Amino acid sequence: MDNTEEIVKSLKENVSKMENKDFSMYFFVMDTQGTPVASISNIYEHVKVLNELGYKAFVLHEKNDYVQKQLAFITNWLGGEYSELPHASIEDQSIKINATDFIFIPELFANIMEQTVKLPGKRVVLCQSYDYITETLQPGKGWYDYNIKDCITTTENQKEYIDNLFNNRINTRVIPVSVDDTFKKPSKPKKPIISILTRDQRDTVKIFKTFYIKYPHLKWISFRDMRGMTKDVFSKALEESCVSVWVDDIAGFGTFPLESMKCGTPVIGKIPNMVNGWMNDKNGMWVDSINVIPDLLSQFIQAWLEDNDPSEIYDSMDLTVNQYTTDIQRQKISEVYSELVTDRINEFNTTLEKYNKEENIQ
Amino acid sequence: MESNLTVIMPLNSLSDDNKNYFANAIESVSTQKVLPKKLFIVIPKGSDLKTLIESFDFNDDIKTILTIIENDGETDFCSQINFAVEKVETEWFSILEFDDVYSNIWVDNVIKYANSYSDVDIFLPIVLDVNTENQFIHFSNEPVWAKDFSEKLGFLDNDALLNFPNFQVSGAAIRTEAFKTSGGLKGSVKMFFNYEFLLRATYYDKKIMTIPKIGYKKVNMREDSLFWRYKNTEGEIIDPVESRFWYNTARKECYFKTDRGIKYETENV
Repeated sequence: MDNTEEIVKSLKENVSKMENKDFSMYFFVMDTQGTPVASISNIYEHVKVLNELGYKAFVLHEKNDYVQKQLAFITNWLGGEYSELPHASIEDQSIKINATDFIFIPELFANIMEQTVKLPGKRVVLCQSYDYITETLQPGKGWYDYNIKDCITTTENQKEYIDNLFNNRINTRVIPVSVDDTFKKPSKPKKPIISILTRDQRDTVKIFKTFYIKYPHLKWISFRDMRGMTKDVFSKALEESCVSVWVDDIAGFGTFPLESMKCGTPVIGKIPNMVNGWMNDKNGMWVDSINVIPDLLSQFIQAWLEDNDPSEIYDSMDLTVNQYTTDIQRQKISEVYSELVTDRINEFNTTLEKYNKEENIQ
Repeated sequence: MESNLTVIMPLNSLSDDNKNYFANAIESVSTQKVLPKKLFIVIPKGSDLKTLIESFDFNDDIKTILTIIENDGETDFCSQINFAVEKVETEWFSILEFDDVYSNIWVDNVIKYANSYSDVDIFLPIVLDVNTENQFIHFSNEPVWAKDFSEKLGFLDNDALLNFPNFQVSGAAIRTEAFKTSGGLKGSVKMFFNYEFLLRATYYDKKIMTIPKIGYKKVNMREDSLFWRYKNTEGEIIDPVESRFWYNTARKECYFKTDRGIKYETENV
């Protein structure tokens, strides 16, 4: 059997493997050292759904000790069904990447994109935060320089940004984030508590201190910093709160406000640099500057204390969040990953055709 | 949605100057999103207040729920309430002073919170305290929602009361049975009867929660009101020393369910 026959045979085997879902998908995650990060949570969601759809998807981490440390935290944070998902470690060097396999690399890790150039599998960027794209990219380099041509992101606005940044040389698909049923409306009336999540903790301090200085008669209203909570505690806190505050200038998607909406908790938020597609003038109180947030909070609280908060906002919140259900995300995951697989099969078939043509010519 | 609540308004006199207050108080009952089941106005037996009250042009809602009750016993504020509660047939009652008003959401919220917190015996409203010019002074009953004020956020307990006495009972929805088994209000404790009652209620394991909604507006220091008289009327003035005496008395008497009729004597101070 000459080399061409071997290649043809191998290509046919690859096509067959892919058609039978006999390949692996590796999703690289960073070790957050116990800190809950929405983007990691979303990756775990993809891995979970893909396994349920019959794919062999793995969470790929760098160090072996991730299993001892981070996984215990993942159990607390996301629940046992997530920590029990298949995991693989780069450090133990037991992974063999085949041509049929996929590696999904977060946008932040341009160094990994570079280091994995020679691997035979298909590499795809999983971009959840457009703001980090250029963070580790070498000047003048784009993802295509590392032979990466595909990307999955979470919003149409981020897709547009990526298309524009890389001059339409990356094929970007969108899978929105979902808000699962851990987040729900409370069975009891809400409490005078303000949930607050800001990317920069100084903003949290600034907002609550300003609020208490300007509105001392509302000093009894508690702020709850939503950082570092397990998912159950986080969702429970959001459920109880009568209003939430969100400041994240570089948010790619904005999971927190949607989680808040699902809990029936109106959001006062600063409009991020990239306006989120779900944001409209009815589903929240969106402002341009954090300086007005304490005033808006005071107005909202006063109205809430009098049962005079606008009912339209609650209706609008429901409409918005109903577009981000786990069923919708699951459907989208199924479609997008299926497309990636089909594209890969087509690549193999194209190469196969090329060899078949050469054989016919000979 | 139906309420199971009786509003009790004690009334000893009603000068021409105060008729507006009274009319506003009654209107605040009639404009409730959910009407109370009954409205009791308690007056001293034989007074001409009955004729005066009947001369007001109440709307049909008020006419349907209003009962004027004549009290032939003591007619101080606490005795009027205790007397009226004996006539209450609803699960809950609430005290409305004639110079105060409910917000129109109050009864509605009592129903909602009673459904959600079925073990609570007293629901305090957030009270909007205003002066006679209707200017905001401060809130009352709200500290229970401040972090670490009490053991459980939103609830008033005995330890918290021992540290902070300023809570208002007027406007509260009180479970009738819990009030009776706690012993009612004690008029002898003077200006600290509210405090003594709440201390006693928590001591006897009654659960007290503040509904985080503005449910009641209280006019402070209206001329000729009880607390105004304690400050201004010759013969009724309570000085800081006596005030301290009644405060301490409230803290001691709360262990007793009956009113032991403590008297102020300087040697007791």
